[in-house]
Amino acid sequence: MLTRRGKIMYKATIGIEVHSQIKTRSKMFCSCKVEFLSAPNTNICSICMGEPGVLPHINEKAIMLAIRAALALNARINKKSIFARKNYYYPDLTKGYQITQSIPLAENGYVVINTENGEKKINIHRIHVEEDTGKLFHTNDKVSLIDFNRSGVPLLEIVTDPVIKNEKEAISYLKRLRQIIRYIDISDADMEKGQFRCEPNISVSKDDRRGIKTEVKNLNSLKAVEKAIKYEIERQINILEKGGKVIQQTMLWDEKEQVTKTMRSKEGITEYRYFKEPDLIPLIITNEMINEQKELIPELPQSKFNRLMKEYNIGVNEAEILIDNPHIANYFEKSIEKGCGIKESLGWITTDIMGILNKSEKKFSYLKITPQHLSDLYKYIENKLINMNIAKSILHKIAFTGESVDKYIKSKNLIQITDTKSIEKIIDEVLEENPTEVKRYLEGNNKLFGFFVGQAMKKMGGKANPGIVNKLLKDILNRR
Amino acid sequence: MGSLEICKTNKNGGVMEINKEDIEKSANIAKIYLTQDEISKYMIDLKNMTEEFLDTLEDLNISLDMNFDFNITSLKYTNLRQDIPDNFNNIETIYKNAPKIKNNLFVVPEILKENKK
Amino acid sequence: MNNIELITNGSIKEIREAVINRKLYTTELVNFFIQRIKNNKINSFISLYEDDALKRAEELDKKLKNCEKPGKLFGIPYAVKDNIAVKGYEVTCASKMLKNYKATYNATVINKLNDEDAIFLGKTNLDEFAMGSSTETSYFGTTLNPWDNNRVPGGSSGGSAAAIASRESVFALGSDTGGSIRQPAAFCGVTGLKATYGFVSRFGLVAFASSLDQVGPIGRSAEDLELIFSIISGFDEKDTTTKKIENYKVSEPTKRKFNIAYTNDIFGEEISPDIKNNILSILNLLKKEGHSISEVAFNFSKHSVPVYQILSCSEASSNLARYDGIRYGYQTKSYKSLLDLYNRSRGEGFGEEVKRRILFGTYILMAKNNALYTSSFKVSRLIRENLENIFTEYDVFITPTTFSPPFKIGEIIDDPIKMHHSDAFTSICNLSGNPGISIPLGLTDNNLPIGMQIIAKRFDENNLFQFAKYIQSITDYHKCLPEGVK
Repeated sequence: MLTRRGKIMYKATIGIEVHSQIKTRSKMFCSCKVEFLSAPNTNICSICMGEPGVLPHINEKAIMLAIRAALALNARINKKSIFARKNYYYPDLTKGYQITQSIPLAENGYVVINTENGEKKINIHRIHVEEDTGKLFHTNDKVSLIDFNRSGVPLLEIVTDPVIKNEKEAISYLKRLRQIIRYIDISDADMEKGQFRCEPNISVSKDDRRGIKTEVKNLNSLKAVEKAIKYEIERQINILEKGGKVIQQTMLWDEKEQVTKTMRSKEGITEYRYFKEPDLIPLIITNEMINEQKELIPELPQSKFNRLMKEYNIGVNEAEILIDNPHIANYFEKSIEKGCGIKESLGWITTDIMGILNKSEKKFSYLKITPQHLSDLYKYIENKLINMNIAKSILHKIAFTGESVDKYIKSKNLIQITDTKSIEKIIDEVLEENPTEVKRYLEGNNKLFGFFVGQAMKKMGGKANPGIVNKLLKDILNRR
Repeated sequence: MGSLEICKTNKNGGVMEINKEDIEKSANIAKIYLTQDEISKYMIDLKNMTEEFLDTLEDLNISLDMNFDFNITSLKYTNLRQDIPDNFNNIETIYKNAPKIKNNLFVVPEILKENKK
Repeated sequence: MNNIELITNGSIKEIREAVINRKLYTTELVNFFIQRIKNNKINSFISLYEDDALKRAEELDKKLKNCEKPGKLFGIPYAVKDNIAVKGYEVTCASKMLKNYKATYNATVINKLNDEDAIFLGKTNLDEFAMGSSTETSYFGTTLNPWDNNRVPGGSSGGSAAAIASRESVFALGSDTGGSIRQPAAFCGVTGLKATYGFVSRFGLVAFASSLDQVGPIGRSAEDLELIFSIISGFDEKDTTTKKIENYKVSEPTKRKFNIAYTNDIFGEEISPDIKNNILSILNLLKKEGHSISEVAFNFSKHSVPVYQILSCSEASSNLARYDGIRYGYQTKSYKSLLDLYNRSRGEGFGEEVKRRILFGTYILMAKNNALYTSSFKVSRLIRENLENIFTEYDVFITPTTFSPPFKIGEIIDDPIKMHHSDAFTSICNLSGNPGISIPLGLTDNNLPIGMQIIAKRFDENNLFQFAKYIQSITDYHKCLPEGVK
């Protein structure tokens, strides 16, 4: 995206580094349990505590899941990858170094996103495994407290090439990446739980030369990422406009003040003193391992997106909603399989069900309405036994009970009134009760037609077929 | 990864010039307080050691650079661990070894906001 | 042989047999060593656990009474260098940094020894964090050489070697990164082995230089060492650098003739004449016995030390980063900030030599200097290839273990270059990964022990031991004891 300042056009160059926790039962280099809400320092051992004399032992599942991710991200897997030490001091880093990879498990992958100009490939530079650190808690007591339960949990690091142009693309990329990760079930990628962390690198320039980049940390939601990138681009442009130079540094996003701030550090560029991890041999990945993981990859978001649009002739926005969660698209397709109408199912899912879940802040898995429910509901619509409004209200009522549609409709007596005689009777009543309005309508105030419809529907508890009501009302009024 | 430079063999070259700042920077990175005496002494020792090494490289006609293929090993197996969680039954001793621990959390002086990772 | 003679001069096999036949009681055996240790003046032990050792001896006795199958090291007391973890006991690494730190798990080698019914006595002295060649850098004071109390026992496994020479244990464990088992073995007139890198698990050995460290036995003879090696060696899944290899089988005594190579370095001017002469005389003896002797030019003894220093200091600087006073170990008494906590704890907790090596290593690993670290691997590889070449023609390769006999305490502690120099022959094996054993080769004119190093092809400990055992069958050097001990 180009930003114009006076006569000068600035363009931004963004690369994103994502750390995703890998869903294993034990840690990366030791057998301690991985569990989000354990009492502090209960999932620790000599190895992840960095005691004297311990050595790392690689978790097979972590590697398998990393292979699966690499395949899903279209990356080339290195049959031999090398572990390395990244040396620095921080209280949550037990050994004084983090075991990461120098030659990564995979390289040169990509993710396809939808932009306003069509599909775009975001190139992924490298994918590798490493270990997480412990967690620090800051108190008001002039001390900080450390919980090492998270120390040693496996992480997948995914780094893009600097090919992202603006915050919108960044969010599309992150959304898509997160979808893929959830589709292949290597992590729940919940940002609030710290399972999916984003660090954008941002630079701006007036020409083809790349500007000095900064890195932004402490982003705890996609919204924060979007705002931070936007803010940082502006900040850098402002500096350049004034003739200054951007300093290469790490910035922290301040959620309260909605600005990026310098991380005060006396050391300048950190010396990580990378060298090959002498306690581990090169990681060998075989064709068997790769083929095993290939089998476990389902249809991925972008493919599903394209297929759904084509097969069901649905729009971009609806398709995006359906593919956001691997379960939703399946749910949709199942409902069609069971006989539900496409338009109806789409509307119910994207508007009503999503709305219900958002409002109650519950996850999709809490939903008790099944594709069968939708199909049943559709049958009633198709046969004009209920109208859309009723259908929608039924969804709301059975969302978390899962009560059968048939039962519910019967018990609440919701079958639409289609009997002409009964409707006419009601319409007559409405007109009787509102003589002034009738007079005004007949004098030319056509807007009151809707009023009469509304009143009639109200009297019938909303259960009448609107089409029939409209027709009959028209006839009756015309006769007057 | 950090920027990695290639240095050429140069016995008297700039790259291998070691001065007080180098020792001080190393001490800074290694988190060890040094006295001025220690800094002077270590500077001389370090100089000697690196010079000896560069002589060795020259004698053996080996170039000083970063390229070394660790990949050459003809390994056919990988030692991977099954993903089965296990309880380490000595957590109590870990707590006992801790210099400062409160409610099972390790205690350190507060980390200033600006220096947070 | 009466019991005292058996205990001081017997082989592991002989002692074990006596114990099983109840000619010798486990408690008697343990008490003998405990008394010697308590009364010694050489400061070989940092800690002694007599109650636990006696308790174990009694348990083993019961085991015998119940006719349970006795382990291969049944009743044999052993000492452990204090940088190897024995669960529940302190592992100080002879440093203020870990003075009160108790190990929370057993090193793999300890489990293996205990499974064979050996009896753990206590922890022996070493150079701080195994960094040194004289045991003088120990926080607990130096160990004295039993042959001459004014001299060093060598290092860093000086305590273990001195303990064997003083007959304070039947065997001991040490660790070897640049010669830390073999050099003290030579200085104390005992036998010490550094196996092929990857043959013995390092899990539980406090890391110094991960690419070079090996745990190994120090004892009375190659025969004893081979038995211990057969027990402690083997693939350990906890240590990914160990090789998946068949269990080692103790070698048969042999009548075959060996193809022996020896380095022309023994003719160098730096070699003390006693060492040169003793090596030459044994070579002559071997020649007379019909073995083939050939001199080879192996020009790496002057290069091994600088390379060893670069490599070991680099890895050490990273391995010792975990000592920050937060989770265990020494924490400074007063500090104003987190940075202060780090800097003071480490500045006060580490001794001078350790600090020096950490600093060097930190400097070398910095991005602009990193080529120093990677280039040192090139030299290692060259050394390895040269040795492989030698072993295409020869069975074993002989070098001196050190240039000179044990030096005086305080003599070269202030001269790091001279100190490192004593690792010239031994560090060759650490850099290449080859196995090396040091066997006693007699005494100098003033009664100081000297040693000879035998090197073999990687993973060919079989050949190595056959040859060493053979030499010890036609000579008596390994049976010499210091004056005070006899």
